[in-house]
Amino acid sequence: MRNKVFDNTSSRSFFSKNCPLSGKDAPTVDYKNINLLRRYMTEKGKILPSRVTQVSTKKQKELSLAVKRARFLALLPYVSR
Amino acid sequence: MLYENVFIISGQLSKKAAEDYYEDLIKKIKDNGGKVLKTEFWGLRDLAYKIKKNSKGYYYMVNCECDVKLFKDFDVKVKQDVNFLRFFNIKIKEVIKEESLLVEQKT
Repeated sequence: MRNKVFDNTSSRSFFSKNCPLSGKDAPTVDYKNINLLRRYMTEKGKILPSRVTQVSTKKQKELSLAVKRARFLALLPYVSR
Repeated sequence: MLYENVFIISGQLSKKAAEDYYEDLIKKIKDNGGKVLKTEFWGLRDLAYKIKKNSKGYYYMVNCECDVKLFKDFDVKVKQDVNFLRFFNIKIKEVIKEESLLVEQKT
């Protein structure tokens, strides 16, 4: 029973990764980079939550703004069926 | 102030007509004392959803330095003109010299 707590923390550290959009070699988040934005969206066109994609809070904000700009310009869909 | 503008013009027009339309817009910027720093043509692209019953549009991007009042005219024009689908305008900190990714994707 004591181990249960320990397992939780160990599994969390095992899955946690660094933010894929921060750091030196990370791509710049921009509304023109559609292929990058597509990677952080579901098939239906929703933005994926950062707890799934491990994107940092700062970058997630930039990402959501970029997606909304791209949607306005009809580069990305609001909804796709 | 530096601005980045994107114009979408109806895909039902011919390429020449769209270009004339776009040059009219650029002329407006220049006449009002603005400076055009960079232009890009992203080609005739499929729209992700229909705008004013159009499924295709010509994309033009302009980086410029000009007065804000000008953009109000464009906003009015989008509402009035059938062939002017979208006007998009953001502030930018600097002009990026390299071509953006959308230029290469054109088919």
